[in-house]
Amino acid sequence: MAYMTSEVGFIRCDRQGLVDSFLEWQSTIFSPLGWRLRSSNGVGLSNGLSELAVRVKSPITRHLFVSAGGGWVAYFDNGPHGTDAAAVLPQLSLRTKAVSVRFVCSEKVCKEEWPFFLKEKSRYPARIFEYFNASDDASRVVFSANDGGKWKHAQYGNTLNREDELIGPVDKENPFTSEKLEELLSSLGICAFDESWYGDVWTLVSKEK
Amino acid sequence: MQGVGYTDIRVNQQQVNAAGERVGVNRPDVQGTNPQGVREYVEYDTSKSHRAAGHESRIMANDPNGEVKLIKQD
Repeated sequence: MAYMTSEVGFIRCDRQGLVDSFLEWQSTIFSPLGWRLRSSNGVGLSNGLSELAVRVKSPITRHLFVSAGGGWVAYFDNGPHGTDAAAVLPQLSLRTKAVSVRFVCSEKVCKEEWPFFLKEKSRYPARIFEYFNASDDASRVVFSANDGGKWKHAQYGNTLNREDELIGPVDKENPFTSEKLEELLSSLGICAFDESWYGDVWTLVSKEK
Repeated sequence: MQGVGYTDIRVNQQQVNAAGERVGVNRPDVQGTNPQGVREYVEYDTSKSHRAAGHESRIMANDPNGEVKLIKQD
């Protein structure tokens, strides 16, 4: 079964340093609970993602760090709905002092040209962009999401460079679309919807009991 | 929650259990799954509010394996 997700995280940091920081953080939480953590390196995006194909309920047991373009590292894990980067990225940013970005693009219909792993369809559509910069406490959130009921649209934090020009205000009349999400990510050098932008080299962190 | 290993953290969103299944359309103030795999729900209410007990019973009916923390905030 192929790995599917509607969420990916990105951190602009050296991959090995990031993995070391992640292992240090997770060991303090999970080692006392009897979990052993280990890391292994590999090649090939499909091979790396296939390591996550079996989703778990909790805790998440596999975390994949894939080198990508522009010095970014993509983060994936085997959460119950694919990647759950919301808690991991801010912590890694704080620990490494690196910029991180998380996005969710959950749609009822996925575009043909999207990478194979981003074609997770959902009853609950959402486009979420989160930017976190631990070094100067600047963060930004932009989203349009429907968690059941009415759509919610919002923008919080410090406006990013070129954000006004690229997407403008987000509201009911001007929702945050997947196209706007792609534009905003691209302005930071993240070509998340271009499969060729992701690199081949990865590190997998596994937890075992 | 983020720093101590919680996952699937949701703020004012529909109730989801530790398996990631949507179990209610009610919206706990904060919810997340702890490193032991137990879903925790936090509800903030004022001491004048009489809604806390109702919040707790609804959350527990939706997810009997979860834990609810009621916090009074005045």
